[in-house]
This record gives sequence, structure tokens and C-alpha cells, in this order.
Amino acid sequence: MKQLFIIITFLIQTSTLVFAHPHTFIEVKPTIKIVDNQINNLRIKWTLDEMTSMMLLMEFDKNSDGKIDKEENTFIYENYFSSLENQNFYMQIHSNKKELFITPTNFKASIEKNRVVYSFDIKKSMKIDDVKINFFDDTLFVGMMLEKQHIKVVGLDKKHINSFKKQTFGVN
Amino acid sequence: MNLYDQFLKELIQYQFQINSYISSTIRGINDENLFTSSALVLAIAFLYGLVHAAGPGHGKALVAFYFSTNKNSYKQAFSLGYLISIIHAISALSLTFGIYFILESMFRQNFNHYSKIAMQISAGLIVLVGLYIIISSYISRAEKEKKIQNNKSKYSLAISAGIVPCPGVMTIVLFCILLKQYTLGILSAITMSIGMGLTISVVGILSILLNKKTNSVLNSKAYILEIVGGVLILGLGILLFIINK
Repeated sequence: MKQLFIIITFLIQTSTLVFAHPHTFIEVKPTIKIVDNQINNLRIKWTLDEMTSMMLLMEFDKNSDGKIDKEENTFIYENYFSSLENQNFYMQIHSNKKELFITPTNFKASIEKNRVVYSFDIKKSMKIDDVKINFFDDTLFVGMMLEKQHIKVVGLDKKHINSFKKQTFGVN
Repeated sequence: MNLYDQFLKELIQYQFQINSYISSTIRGINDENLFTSSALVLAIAFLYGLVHAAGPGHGKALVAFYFSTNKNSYKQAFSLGYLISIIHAISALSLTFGIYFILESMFRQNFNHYSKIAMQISAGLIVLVGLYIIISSYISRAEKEKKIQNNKSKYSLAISAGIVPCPGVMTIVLFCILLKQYTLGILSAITMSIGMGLTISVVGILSILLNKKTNSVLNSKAYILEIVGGVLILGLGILLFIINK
């Protein structure tokens, strides 16, 4: 029995991705717009950690003016952001017990205090009582971080906001 | 959310805090606080290494397999843990400095490109270690004493697990290079690796403890477990190769 236990333990160990552990950290700040008990728009803001930002900015800010202009924005979208579609942009949205695949719009990259910021919209109509949203990278190369105080909810009665955040994002 | 996911989230959170602290401290270094800030960065890099290696990866699974299928002392667990982390650090340092100075303007694409090649080489080596363990365990199944062979596979295992440069170390080194803190970059890579080596060694020791408990039962048929370990390491190598294709 004991040897079986050892084998099972190590099988579980190796079933986790062997070389995966976060090297990039993203702080997620979502803004949820609610109209008539339906989520009408999700505005997501990602703030990348300073070390990763510095590496990326070597390539992103081609003219080194400390800003991301239109051309640079297109470059980032095409070469970096759009490929995240394979990971559903590090989001798992379940509505009506089905997983939804998202198509971000209005992508905008910027620089705030030496850190790269991505902002984008997700336009999907979802009933607020059966939606669950999680930010997570399955491969664990990117650490997604969500704090309760960073979630903004617009269009919902104040007394329901805390329970909505808990139910939808699983934050306490 | 299950306990494992919760654990990973907590770990990510801690790493982010340490990562932010390191970057703001390095950025804030000036002539006046050079010594204290550098010492602080190194201490944090050590802690970062400890926590960083606790997550999935860094060859811990390989080390666990190795020590659960081979008879070894705690001393050997430390030597293997540190061998992996030293190779980890050297690989990260040489790759980061090499690529940075040669291909500065195109850094990012090449960084990814070469990381991938290093991963593929490592996956290939892991496959070879797996095959080696399977074959040698089968051939020498009657022998009780396999010390020399154990040492041989120990070094090949350390190289294959350690040659994949840790992007965590590379990021810190690169950040220091960008801020022209070259010596600090090298020193933090070393202290971070010391931290990682400690965590990897602890995994080895835990595996030895588990192995000791089963030794009396398994003494006669130990080679079967070794072969199972070899097969799993082989599978792991193939899996890694597929992921990094």
C-alpha cells in the first residue's frame, strides 16, 4: 500500500506543469456596468509588474518618448495581446453554466508609473445572478491578481455590491 | 476554489509583493544607500528564491522521483538540490548577459526564442535520464550496491533539470542590467538560487523520508519502483518536449 501511495503522490506532483511558475504579474482591475440586472459591459484594466514592463517597453516604446502612440498600440495588439486568445485572455467566464469565450474590443496600451497597462472592453450580456468570473492563467506563467477593492461596479444598488463581488468573483 | 488553487494564489501574491519590493528597491539605489539597499535586495532575492521554488516546477518532481526510487542520504539531497540551482543560475546568467549584449535591440523576441531552445534541450536530457534509469535499473536489478551509477544519474539529472534557465532569475538579472546594476544582478541571481536550492533540497529530504519507510518492504523489489520512476521521468521529458515544440 505504501509504495502505491508514493507512486500516486508523485503522479499528482508531476501532473502539475513541471516548469510553470509565474514570472509576470498582472494586477486586474475590472469595471462592471450593470443595466436592468444584466452585465452590459466589462472594462478590464491590467497593470503589469515593473520588471516585466521594463523589458516590454524596450520593444513597445519604439521612439522612447515614454508614451504608447497609435502605431505602437497596434503593434502591441497584433504581436502580444491578440495571441492571448488561446488562453481566453486569462479569463474564465461562466454564464448560465456555460463557459464563454471572449472577444475584447477597444484595446489600449499605456504606461503608468513605469508599468505597462492594458485596457479593453468585453461586451457580453449576462444575467448578474448566474455569472462567475475568474482571472487565472492555467499555465501559471502569469500570476493574475484581483483585489476586492479594485472591482468597480456601476449600476447596482450599494447594498448588493459586496454580495455581487463575492458571488461573481469569489472575493471575500 | 480548492485548497491547491488557494495555495497557488497565495504563493503568487507573495511572489508579486517580493517582486515589487525588489524592483522598487533596485530603482531607488543611489550612492548614499548603495550598501544597505543592495544588502536588502540580496536578502529579498533569497526569500524570493525560497518561495519561487515552492510552486510547481524547478525540477522538484524530478528530485522527488529520484530520491523516492534511489537509496540516498540527506547530504545527497542537499548536493542535488544545490547542483540544480547552481546550474539554474549559471544558465540564466549566461543566457541573459549573452543575449542582452549581443542582440540588444531585438531583445524580447530572441529572449523567448532561446528560452524555448533551452527548454527543448532540457526536455531531451530528461528523456535520456529516464531511459538511463530504466535501463540501468533493469540491468543491475540483482545488485544491491549501485552507488556509482546513482552518482552518474544524479549529475545528469541535475543538468537536465537545471539547464532550463529560470525566467524569474533572468528577469531580475535583466532588470539590474537595464538599470546598470551589473554586479547586483549577478549577486541577486546567486542568492536567489541559494534560496531555490534550499527548497529543492527539502523536497529531496522529504522523498528520502518516504522512501526509508518503505525500504523494508521494497528491498527485494526496489528495481521495479526504480523502473516506474524512470518511466515517469521519461514521460515527463516527452511531455515537456511536446509543450515546447
